[in-house]
Amino acid sequence: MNELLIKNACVIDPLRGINAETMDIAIRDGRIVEEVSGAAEVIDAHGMLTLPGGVDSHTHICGTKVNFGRYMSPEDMRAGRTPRRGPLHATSGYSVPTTYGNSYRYSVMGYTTLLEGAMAPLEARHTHEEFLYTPLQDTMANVLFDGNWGIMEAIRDGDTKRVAAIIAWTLRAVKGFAIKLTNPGGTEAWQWGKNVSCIRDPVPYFEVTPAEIIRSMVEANELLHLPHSVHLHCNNLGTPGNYTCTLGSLGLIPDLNKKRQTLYATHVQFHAYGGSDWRDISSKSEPIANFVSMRPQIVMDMGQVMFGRTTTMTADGPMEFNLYRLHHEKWSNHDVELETGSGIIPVIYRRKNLVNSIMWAIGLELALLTKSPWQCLLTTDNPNGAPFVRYPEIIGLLMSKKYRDAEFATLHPDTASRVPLPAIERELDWYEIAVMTRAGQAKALGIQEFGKGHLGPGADADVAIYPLRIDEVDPSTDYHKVVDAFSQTEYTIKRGRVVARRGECLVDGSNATFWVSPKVSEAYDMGKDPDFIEKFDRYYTVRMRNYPVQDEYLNRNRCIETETEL
Amino acid sequence: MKVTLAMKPAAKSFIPIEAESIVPKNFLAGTDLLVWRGNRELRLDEVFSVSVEGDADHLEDVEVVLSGDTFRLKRVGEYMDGGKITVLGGIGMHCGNFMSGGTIEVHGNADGWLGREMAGGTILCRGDAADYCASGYRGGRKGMTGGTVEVFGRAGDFLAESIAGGTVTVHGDAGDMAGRRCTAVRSLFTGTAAARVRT
Repeated sequence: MNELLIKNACVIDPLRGINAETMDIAIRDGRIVEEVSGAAEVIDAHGMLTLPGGVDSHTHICGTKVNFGRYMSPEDMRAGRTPRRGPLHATSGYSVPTTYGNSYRYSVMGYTTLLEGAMAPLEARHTHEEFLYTPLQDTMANVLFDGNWGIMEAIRDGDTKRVAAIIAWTLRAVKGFAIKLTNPGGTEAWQWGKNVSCIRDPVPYFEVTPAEIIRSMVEANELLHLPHSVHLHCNNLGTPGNYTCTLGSLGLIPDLNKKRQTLYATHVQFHAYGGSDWRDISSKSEPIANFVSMRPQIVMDMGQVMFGRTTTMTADGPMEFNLYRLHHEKWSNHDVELETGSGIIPVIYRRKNLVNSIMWAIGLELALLTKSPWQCLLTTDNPNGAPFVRYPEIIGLLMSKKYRDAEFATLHPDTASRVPLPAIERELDWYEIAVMTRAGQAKALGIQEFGKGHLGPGADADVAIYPLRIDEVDPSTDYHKVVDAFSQTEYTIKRGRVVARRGECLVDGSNATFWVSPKVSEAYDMGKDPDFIEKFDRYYTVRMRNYPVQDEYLNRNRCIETETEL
Repeated sequence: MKVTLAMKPAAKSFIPIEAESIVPKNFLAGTDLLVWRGNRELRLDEVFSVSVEGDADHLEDVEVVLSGDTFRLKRVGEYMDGGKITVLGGIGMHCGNFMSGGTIEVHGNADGWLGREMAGGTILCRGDAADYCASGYRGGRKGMTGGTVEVFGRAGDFLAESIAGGTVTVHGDAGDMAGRRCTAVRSLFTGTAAARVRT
């Protein structure tokens, strides 16, 4: 029996409504309990800010796409080199670090749960293999369904139950967690040399529109009672004037679920541009934030851009191709058979560049203009907007108008006429930051009932203690202290064990992978559906029996079985 | 001050030696330096017969002379900022990486990556230089930014790749892709006998 007692912690635990109460946290065998015996090991937190372990609900850290980013950028591997030390492996890389680099750096920042934002089903093994070597965080993966042939055919036939059945089979086969739509229909259209400009353009051959794909997937998601909602990367990413498309997509979504949102719109910063071309691009964060604030069925994440170099990677193949035509630098695009595609381009965001300056402002505006922090979560779409190691700076910017003004003064001089940011006075408080970095993310992912994102009895003992006393630090002026504190925890505790302390990781952990297995009736088991099997064997390059990911690919197997309506 | 490092025949090994500590600046404080062979750290005198003539107060007065079979000796002169290194034979990969001042003279052939990402100083190679002479790092956007590289023999592929400043002169032939991705170039190539990248 392993016991640990954290004393005198200043706890903010939004899912339980606890706001800065000094209390003790008792841990036994990796779970939080009411009390422990006198023999427990004691950590005195001395009134330091104590939060549930961080949850990143949209990041790209594992899988083929990330690894291709590593291949493409040997120069990236020159940064962030640390030697092997004790139980720790050597690391290197900045925007696309090694898996251990990702894991250690997240852990030092207090993050204990990560969602890989996009896993191509056919290439799921690679993602799971890299999860095995991301030892200090529990992981889960969104599965890409944006151009799935079987699903598009079922949508064309108006058969939502078949859509759900294919999703159920695929999620179970690839050990995935949720549905990801990346530019729905667009990557498939790109294989015909086209794209979809917005939700009403039909996909060639299949003759379904992105709007139909989004609606059917949302309905199918609720038929399957999945923990998370549909995770949508809207059409038309990164194009001036695309905010109308974003509003149109969000407007499609009914409120179907009492416990959580019905749609998770990711990296909305990239989808909130006004204007008609790159010369008159402007921020349209206000209409989007207002729209989302009025609709509890929608949660979004920021997709904040921070200046410096990074690597963009997405399943949105046509978007990356357009980006290539803009940059004419090195570039990769990839097609995944009957499913999806991807593209990767290293970029540098510069503060002297007007477009980049506007992008930086939009991310912050979305977070500041959305009334409820539960509806706008803190991400950079790592590494697309910036590597996740920049999160502490974003927290500082959201908490301090002074910091924002100081940064704003260094941007392209025309930025002020294109964005509302200078007029926004709001400064987020500690509670709101705790929501945006763990509680809100856990709730949006639907994993709070599996013990994530809160510190209630029974929860996984994932705790982050930051070297900061919130009664002594005024974030609006001492923002440097805030940034420093969120960069390095005093203690990061994972499954009841101290895994990182003051910037140093201490142990070689072992991750758990969450995945979903929807229970469907015999009639909707696609593994036995003759039409599905025939199409599979005819068009895939792999046999159907070789497609599912075996259990050996998971360290700790946290299977979530859902009761469905099929 | 003249420091002579004669490679001991016994030190010859299949595993190359990484000797980024061999830069003139380090010899101002003595010859108590370390080099790596694989994962083992060796003292300089385990690999070389070291002899020192005279002494010096200034970097400019330091000359390091390397002799013996030094073609598997890597990273000599990395981050060198002054003084002189003379190599009587050939030199291994990555000689003069990131160099910003001083002179390296190689009487034999140089292996790959001679003067990679150099910012200043002079490299003279009397023999041939292998691939990636005066280039940038793989995948990087900016290679050599200053200084002079002169190769009297031939140069391999990717000569002066992504060069952004400085002068590279090759008296013999250059291989494929000379000056690829270069920025800031005034003239490139004057025939196969002399490839010239000048900024």
